[in-house]
Amino acid sequence: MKVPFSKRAYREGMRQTRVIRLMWLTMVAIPFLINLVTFFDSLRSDYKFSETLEDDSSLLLFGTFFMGGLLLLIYPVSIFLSEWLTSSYHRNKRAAATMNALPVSLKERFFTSVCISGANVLLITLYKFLLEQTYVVFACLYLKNRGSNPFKLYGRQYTDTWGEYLRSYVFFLLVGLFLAAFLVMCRELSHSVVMFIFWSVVGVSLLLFTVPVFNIFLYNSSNLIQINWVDYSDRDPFLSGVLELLVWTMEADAFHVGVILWLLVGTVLFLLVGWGVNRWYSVDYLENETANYRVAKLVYVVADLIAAALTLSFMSSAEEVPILSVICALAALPLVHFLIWNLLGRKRFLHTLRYAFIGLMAALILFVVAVLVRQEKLILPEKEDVVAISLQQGVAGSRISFYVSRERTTVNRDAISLVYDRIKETLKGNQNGQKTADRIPYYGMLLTKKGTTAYRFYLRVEDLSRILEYTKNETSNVYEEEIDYGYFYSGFTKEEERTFYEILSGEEHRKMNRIRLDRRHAVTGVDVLLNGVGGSRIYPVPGLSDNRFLRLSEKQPKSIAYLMSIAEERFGSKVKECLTLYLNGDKNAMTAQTRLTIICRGATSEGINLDCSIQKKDTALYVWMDEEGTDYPVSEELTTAFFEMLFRNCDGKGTIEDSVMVYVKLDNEGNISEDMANRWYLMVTQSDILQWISQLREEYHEENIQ
Amino acid sequence: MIKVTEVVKRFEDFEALSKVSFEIPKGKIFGLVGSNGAGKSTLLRIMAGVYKPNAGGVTYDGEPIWDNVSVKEKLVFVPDELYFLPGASMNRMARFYQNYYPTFSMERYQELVEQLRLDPKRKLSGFSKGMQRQAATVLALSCRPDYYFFDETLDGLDPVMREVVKSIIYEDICERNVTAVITSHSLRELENTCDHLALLHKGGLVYDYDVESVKASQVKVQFALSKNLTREEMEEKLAVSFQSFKQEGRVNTAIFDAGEKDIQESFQVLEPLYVDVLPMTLEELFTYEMEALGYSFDLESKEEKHESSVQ
Repeated sequence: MKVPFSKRAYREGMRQTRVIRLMWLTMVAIPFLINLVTFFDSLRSDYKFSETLEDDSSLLLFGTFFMGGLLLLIYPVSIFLSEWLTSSYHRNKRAAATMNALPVSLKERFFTSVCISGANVLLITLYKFLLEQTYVVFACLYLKNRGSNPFKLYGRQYTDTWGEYLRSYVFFLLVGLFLAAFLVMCRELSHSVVMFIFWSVVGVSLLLFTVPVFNIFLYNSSNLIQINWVDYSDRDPFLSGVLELLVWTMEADAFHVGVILWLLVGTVLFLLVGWGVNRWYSVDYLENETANYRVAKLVYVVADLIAAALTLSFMSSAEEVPILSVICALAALPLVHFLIWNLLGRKRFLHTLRYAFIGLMAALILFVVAVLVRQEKLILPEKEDVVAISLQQGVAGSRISFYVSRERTTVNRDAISLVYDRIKETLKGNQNGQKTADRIPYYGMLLTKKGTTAYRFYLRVEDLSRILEYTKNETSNVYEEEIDYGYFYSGFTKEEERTFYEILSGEEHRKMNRIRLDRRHAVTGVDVLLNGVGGSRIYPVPGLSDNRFLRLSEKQPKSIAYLMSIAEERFGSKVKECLTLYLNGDKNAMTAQTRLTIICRGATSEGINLDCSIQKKDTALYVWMDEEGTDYPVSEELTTAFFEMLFRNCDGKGTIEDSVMVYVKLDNEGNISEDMANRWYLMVTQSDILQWISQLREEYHEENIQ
Repeated sequence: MIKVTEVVKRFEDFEALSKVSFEIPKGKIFGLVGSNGAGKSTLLRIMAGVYKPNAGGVTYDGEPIWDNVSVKEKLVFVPDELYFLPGASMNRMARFYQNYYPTFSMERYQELVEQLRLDPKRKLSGFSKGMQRQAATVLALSCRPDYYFFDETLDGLDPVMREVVKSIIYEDICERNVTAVITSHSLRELENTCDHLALLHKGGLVYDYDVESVKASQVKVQFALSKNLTREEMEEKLAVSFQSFKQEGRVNTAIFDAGEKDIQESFQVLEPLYVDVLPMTLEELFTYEMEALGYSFDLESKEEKHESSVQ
């Protein structure tokens, strides 16, 4: 009997035919080399190769090739590792003859087998994580050279600094080593029931903690539910903590749900297969390698396919991951599994080829399905199905982001129709479109009842006025959700951006603490400053993310001076004057304006952005204006003035030229609402806002506002 | 005492063992012989609890072996195809067995390792086949069980080492009065050591006998006669039935159940030119028994064919 998964059989399998070698060369070497070349090329300062990988689809291709190549190299290693770990139990005849004679009960052996199977799944999953991260490293390098945020892919913040990244990488390596060490131990101590219990604990712990910890380390967790340990500590800290952690994990996002599903389904299926294989191998199989073995293999592969398919179905709903890469990688797993298994386990080449072919076909079908799933998201929904839109524009001024409400579609259908037509137009001609003088790039989201799809398209300059015209009388129908898709434009040119970083890196600057619950802390500083400069936020600042804004002060005079020079160049002396006031410490001059965002947020074409918060508590109106988030009550008079101002402007007086976009959180009764979904966009003239701010300032002493 | 009761083992349609029954008293060395594919290894694996029989069972002092850890702790099985943990050295395997066998003796292990001059730190995968057999034997003996099962353990050892290992095994068995079951194709290996011998053929137990008594009961006589007699005439005059008879020229060789007769005296009725009573080996016994069962290789005719083809 040829022992499956043995090194010898592997070598024989590899030698069997040139076709196999060619296949491996194609599947492994070429993608790997391509990516190796890409990698080294990306390290060069001029980075010519990047020119050919300028758009997103190329990036996906790049990632897919790399990941696929690496998978094909590493997955066999993991298979060999699992063989090495499990061979003593049930995978070959000699081992079984020796091991089955040992004083170990079948029950214990079964549990051991189950534990090892489960551990294998975890191990392989770990490999996948590492692979993904390796992919991210390369993608980051790529993005870095493109001048984009190296730590952010498709809106997902992987990490903030290389140091953090490396730390997480090392962490995962250590987890892997830890796991491997225990597996090795398990080989000798497996007879003990205690080991089973131990493994259960380790397995569940890993399952529960790995993904969230991974999340903490690698992802921007602003989209995650924060655990409030304090709240639970008074009750049952352990149980509550575990439950909370589980909820946190599950609510993270679709990507993680997919990963967890992969873990759970994969583990269960692997355990079942492990049980089956163990049963067959340990008792009757030893002298009889035919039917049971094939069935076991089939079950194994089917299990793999089911797990992959389920994972895919979940992952396809994730919008912020490089989904195609993940899909390709997952689709590759059954294929690789098939190939490896059959290459190593079969006596005859034809058998091998047959199984490999079946595997290839199965994986191909899976791949096609995955691509179709992806494609579905690129295909425009029917216009009638679109119930809302959101536009994000980031060229002049800050983005304009709003939704057209689902409820009152009569008027806003025009806006929807216009945006829909533009998207369709762009997609029809060229998906990426061509920038022309009269076209502004936008990112738009079309909301249907089935879900949301984002598109990059071009909108004519006059289109925006038309959209605003369509919606101005229906302002209460327009609301905004802070959904950050990560599609941002820098107001800088690449050269300007690089220069800014160079200057910044030469100056002392501190990284803001992570702000998760209260983003208001972040709404000062460069975010506003840069919006004011004319670009949108600038993300690829090392050490910063979208909620870790860089705050420039007198400690960064050169950086500020540079920004101001650009501001002046672009927008004239008014902006410079405003910035200078702010930077000179006259915070009231700027603060009142810059901190009026949560309720009043927006930008004019002149680059004024407003940030502040107004909340209604009980009957009074509160204004948040300081960094500690203290709420100050607002008088009834001022509240009335404020609403008058808003409703006055609801008449459509404001235009894009002289107004700021303001959104107000209102509930159904017209009160200020905390519900994000009930934010209303209003067009408010700049002068009105400034007037109201001055009234506000009169009510409070400056000291209170500081 | 080991009691094998009507054990049946089937692999799909193939019946490897068919109602095999026998008993092995404590302290006996039990030889299991048989042709290739007779079911020796299968029987040994069932006895060691590796396989579950389809019918029947094996008990140790009344306790079944299958999935019985307490019984399994009392036995060690050294299979024909050895297996060690990947990358393991002898020391590691010793620790491995130590985990499983409460009776494992590290002192005994060290003693045997030194006696056989094996390197306990070296990887077993780097050992020669013979050295691996020695290592397996050392590990098995160090477990100090009540029952040993050796499946063709001495195969692959050079003659000198075979004797050394053999002596170590038998010394251990005799000293501790334990039971051992040994399979081998080479009856010479078992001849001077086994107390009891079982012959398996086509999955069934053909013979099960005490070695000394069987050797005493069978006699091999070489003789030459002055006149030509047929086999039947000789049997009639001697009043015996030859189990085997060969005639080469005037020299005849016969094997038969002698009972308590005086061979020299009884052969006088044939007026022999000479009569010689030869020692009977187990191998001869085995061969003749197998021939009687219709299992034989026609070596002579094969050799003749080979010679003629060479010419």
